[in-house]
Amino acid sequence: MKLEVDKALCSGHALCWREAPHIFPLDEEGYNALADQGPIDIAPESEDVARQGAGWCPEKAIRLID
Amino acid sequence: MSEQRCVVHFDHHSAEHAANPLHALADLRRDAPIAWSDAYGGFWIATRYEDVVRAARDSETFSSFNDLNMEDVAFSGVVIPPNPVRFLPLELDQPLLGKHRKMLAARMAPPRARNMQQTYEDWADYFIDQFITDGHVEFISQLVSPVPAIATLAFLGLPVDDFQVYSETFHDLAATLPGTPERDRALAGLQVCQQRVAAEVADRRRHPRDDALTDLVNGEIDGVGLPEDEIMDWVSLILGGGIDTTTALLGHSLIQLDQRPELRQSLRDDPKALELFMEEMLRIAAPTQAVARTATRDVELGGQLIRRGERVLLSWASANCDEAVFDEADNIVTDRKPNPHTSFGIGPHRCIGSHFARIEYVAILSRILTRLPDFRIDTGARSYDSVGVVNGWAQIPATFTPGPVLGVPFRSAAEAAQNESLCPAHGRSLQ
Repeated sequence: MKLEVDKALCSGHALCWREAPHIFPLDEEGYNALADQGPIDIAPESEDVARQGAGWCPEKAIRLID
Repeated sequence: MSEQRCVVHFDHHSAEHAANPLHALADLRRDAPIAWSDAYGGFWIATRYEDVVRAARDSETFSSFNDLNMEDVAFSGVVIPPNPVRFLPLELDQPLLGKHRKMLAARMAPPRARNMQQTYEDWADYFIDQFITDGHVEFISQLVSPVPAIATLAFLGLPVDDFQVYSETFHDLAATLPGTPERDRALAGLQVCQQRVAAEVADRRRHPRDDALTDLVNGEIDGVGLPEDEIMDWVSLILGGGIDTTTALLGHSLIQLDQRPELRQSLRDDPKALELFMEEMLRIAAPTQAVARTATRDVELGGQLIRRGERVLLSWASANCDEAVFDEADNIVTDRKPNPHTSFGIGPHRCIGSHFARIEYVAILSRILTRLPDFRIDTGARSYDSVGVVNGWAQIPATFTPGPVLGVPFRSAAEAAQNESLCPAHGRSLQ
């Protein structure tokens, strides 16, 4: 699985980070540091928690690519 | 696209609405998701999650700007009826909004908030110490208003010993109606607060410190420093946004936890459970129920034509109960997961203090659950007469089995900052 974070949508709620800090690091201002980095590979064992983190985002800024 | 208006009488400040805010919103969501209210000169009210989120994200079309020109209803900011004062950066649009937020963004990021948790717990313990041998308390004035007030003052760098005037003033501003003696007292208190803030701003110009006030004093937008009035508008927002909202959420949570010993036990034992409960209380009891926007062009929203210059109220409270997004939307599901509610706002105006609010909440509620495990709310508990500004509780008297004083000292803001810089290896930890 891959995922992609849309910089235009990320508003710094940081709920993805709260759910899965090792997958969703924050930048210095508290926004998702993966924003606009293109698709990121997610290891199979991390897929569930990555999905959970994406599900918390009220901006739907995290797109999962199966 | 409809050009007909479904006209309703919807007054979000009325006592009738305050008695059951979610009821009227559910009717609108079902029958008229983009309705025209004839109150306050007329405004649209959006109640479905999809429409509320779309408008909140599109800040170019749905403007937050407040030009303070009360003659002209256009661009009159984020509340209906419009405020005679401006909040910054809440009532700015992009790109200015982003430039303003950047001045404080790093200071408001989640790790900075987490570093304060022990300090917030200590402040909660200090206030609990003052009443724990009595066996009774009025939660709002004795605990859940003072601690968020102190946390907000410490963040700004204002003297925390002044908490009482800030705590009472911002609680009363939210809890009272215009034209009442209580509101007049709150307005007098506001003047006192503003004078004290102005003196501190002057001090920071000469003696910069590591605090938010100094960030604002030294802040620049496109190379130009902030004028005095804009610093004050920023401070007003942080005080107004930081003090009574967290209090309101804690109030709703205490009411919900009355007579639920098993839930209390699970929240006490499991920090993750407490977090999920907090998010569900945010969803069902949004402290800020709605915000307003002004349409900058003719636009379609939810199939309805909205004309340029018309005002639109976006109901977070209603979006949070939209059955299209949330299962069992009307029920409090204490372990709901995930919970993409809108209570901290959506889009570029997301509550800049959200991370601090969540940490304050967890710190205060966990100390209540640990030290006052059997509290019972008395019949005198009373919610606000109006939920148009903040959806909160005026007073929550309670009784409990008296417990031991821990002897926690009152920390000054400087001591709190010291504590933060020492984190995560802070000194003392209370059980």
